[in-house]
Amino acid sequence: MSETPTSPRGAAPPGAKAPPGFKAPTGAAPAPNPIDAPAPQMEPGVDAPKAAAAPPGAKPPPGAKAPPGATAPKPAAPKPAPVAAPVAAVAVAPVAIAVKPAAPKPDPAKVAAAPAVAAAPVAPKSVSRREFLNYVWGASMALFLAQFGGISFLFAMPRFREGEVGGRFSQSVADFGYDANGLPNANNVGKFWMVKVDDTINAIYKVCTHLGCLYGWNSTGKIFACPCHGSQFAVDGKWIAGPAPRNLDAFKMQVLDASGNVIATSNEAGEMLKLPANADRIIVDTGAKISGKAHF
Amino acid sequence: MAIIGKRLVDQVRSTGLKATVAQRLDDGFTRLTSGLSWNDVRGVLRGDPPGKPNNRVKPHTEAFWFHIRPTFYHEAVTTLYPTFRLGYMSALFFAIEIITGIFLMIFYTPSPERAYQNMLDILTNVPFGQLMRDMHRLGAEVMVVVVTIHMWRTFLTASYKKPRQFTWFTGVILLIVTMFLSFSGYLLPWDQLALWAVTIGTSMADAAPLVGPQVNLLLRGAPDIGAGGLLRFYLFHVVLFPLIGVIFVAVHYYKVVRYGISLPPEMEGVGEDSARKVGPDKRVNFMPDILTNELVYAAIAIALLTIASGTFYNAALETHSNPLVTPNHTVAPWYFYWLQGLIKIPHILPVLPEALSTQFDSIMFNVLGITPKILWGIIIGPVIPLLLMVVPYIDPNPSRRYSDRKVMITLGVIFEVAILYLSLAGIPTGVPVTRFGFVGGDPASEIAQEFMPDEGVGKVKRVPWDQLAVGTWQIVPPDEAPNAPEFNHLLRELQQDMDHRTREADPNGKKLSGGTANVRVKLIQPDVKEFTLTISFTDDKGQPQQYSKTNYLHRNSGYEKE
Repeated sequence: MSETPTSPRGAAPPGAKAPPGFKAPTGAAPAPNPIDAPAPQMEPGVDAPKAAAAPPGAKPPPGAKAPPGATAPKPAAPKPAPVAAPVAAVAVAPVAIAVKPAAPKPDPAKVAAAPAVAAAPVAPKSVSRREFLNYVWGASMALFLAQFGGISFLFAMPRFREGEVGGRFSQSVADFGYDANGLPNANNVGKFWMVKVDDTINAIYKVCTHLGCLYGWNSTGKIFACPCHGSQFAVDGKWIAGPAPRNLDAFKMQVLDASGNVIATSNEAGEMLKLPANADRIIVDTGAKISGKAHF
Repeated sequence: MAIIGKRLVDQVRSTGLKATVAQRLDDGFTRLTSGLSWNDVRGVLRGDPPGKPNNRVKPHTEAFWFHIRPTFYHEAVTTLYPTFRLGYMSALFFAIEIITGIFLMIFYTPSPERAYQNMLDILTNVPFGQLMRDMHRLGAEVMVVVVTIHMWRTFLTASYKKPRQFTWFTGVILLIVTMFLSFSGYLLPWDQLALWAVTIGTSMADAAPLVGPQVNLLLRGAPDIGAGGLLRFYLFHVVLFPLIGVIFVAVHYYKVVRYGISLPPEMEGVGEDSARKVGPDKRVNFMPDILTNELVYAAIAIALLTIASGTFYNAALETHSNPLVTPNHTVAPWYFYWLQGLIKIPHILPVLPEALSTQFDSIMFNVLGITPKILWGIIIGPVIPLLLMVVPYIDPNPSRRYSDRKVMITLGVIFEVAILYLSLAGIPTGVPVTRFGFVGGDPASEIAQEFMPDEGVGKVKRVPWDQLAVGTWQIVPPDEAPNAPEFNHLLRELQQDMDHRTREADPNGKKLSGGTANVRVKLIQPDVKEFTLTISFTDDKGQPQQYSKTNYLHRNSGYEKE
């Protein structure tokens, strides 16, 4: 509160060198018509909070009619000399505002000035060149940061090609079914079970659709059961119970005959595939995973 | 240089050598303390009243470590209530984690080939290595608890209200950082728990809408957790999350210095904040009172943590991670149980009767494509931390008095009870109080899991080697082996467990029917015995079934001592 008037800039005598960035009407003589002062010369930071709060020309601030100095809270208020006042208002008021944005509304400098003069530090409505350039700089920085974010994402993404984890596996028809202990056959590299129900087959992804655990085969119930949260699935991958949201995922299969022609492929839903009579080999593509059907 | 030397010589001439050395040492000491001479510090240690002017505020204005602490507190917040020192404890545990963590880092390499071996080294070859690891692990779990209770206290005393809204906001971020710090450390030992608990955790991220699969890939470094995932989690754990934590602790602490610690609600008028308007008679200076007090709390907390880590608490290290086998009953960390419980809610409107809610679910699925799991796990789950963040901004009530906040406190208690209930429901082994508990294996495999777990020791391995009587022993009714009291006790416990599961249904409503069982112990090598439990029972369809599980025990395993 008290440092404003005693600060070197605030105490500058009327007509002294204007603070940097603010071009006061020159000379010690009263400004002929401060309203004519070109708006772009104003600094955005100088006028923003205060002037917006009290547009002088439109509505005089409370206490404006009081005699100068009477209501002024600052002991070292500029001398209300009639001649020097306009210049003091122009030179001092913006500085006082900039140093102490929370200064009380009846600013002595403004009070001292005639309404027309007090209108000098009004907020410029147009954008100054410097303000515009700062926006441009800011925008270019924002653009750079956005690009950097995108690059960071690409940089941090793991690099692997489809099929690199597993790949295309060639299985014989006999691989699909159960082993001697009643356990469905599995391909541990490709992480899939090769299940067979009657004459339909499927390659079922070994990972539970709930939270990524490897479910196991429950030989007593002849079902798949997850050790983590107890989801259960039928041998064809259909959900039976537990927290899993959907049926087990399956991999796309191509059934080849003895001469290598594709004679059947998995459908879009990844359902059990009916095995043609002349089937010879089955290609399981672990790069093409088909999500199981959601249930509710 | 010459001038300094001349001054020194002059001083020695005028005051003598001893006084000069003492004065120069005190000068250096004063620089170290940013303004307190040795006599000033002794005054602090003796509890002398501060001088006038009080030069004990100098470290608060001049030095870094003290400038993040206030110069004084209101005497009303220096008692145990209302703060319970929980914020200080959170920061203390953060510091303990950083220090013990740096020690562990010395002996650790984040690679699948080396990590597990490093863990064994830390536990067996490094002096105090096991203590460091136990303190780090236990401290992490305690920190989650302390931070959570700290938040709960702040809610109850309404300390989040103006002007402390943003302090609360950063606090929620710190809670999330704490959980992620703890969780990211899970993977580093590279044992089975590490691999599968983190697989479960990242799969939760995978289920998130739109960005889930990308986030999952970023976290895991590959479709499955491997070398890339281990390195990533290591970097999260030792660089990214600690950095975020330190930054937000700084902001959080700055806000405490700026606004003070809120007074007990009953001491303030409605909408008033007087934590910084403290009359001289109400002030308790940071130096020495608060400082001494905090040192005592730190000493007690560190002592308890050290004693617990040195005695009964042993951070588990399971077998080496195996991407082809998921052990039974693998769980996410306990502080994510509420999320798992949320996913288990079977209907969109679980309060309706069963038939009606099924109808409603099918309508919602057909019209909006929303299933209960999408709603609860993927939409509601992430909303909860966001909801916590905005609490101070949406609470319209300016009063901090308990009597004026009945609605908010009731909501808070409901929220807390809901989280606890969901956490219970999220426990994979299920809790009978919840309607939607565990959907597990058949009772026979559950018995085997209880006595011979996939991971950990279990009751069978605790039987002393000498008492494992070779032969085949019936369990219903239990046989008696000669001179083997603990083995016979095990057989009786097995019989009681089977009897219990025959009479009472488990949380899934499953019972053991027609169960008989035997244990066969075989000496298969001079120092190795094979223990096989075989349970025969009748399944749901009336078919006879058999389940068996085998453990191998070595003479020198030493499990019975654990």
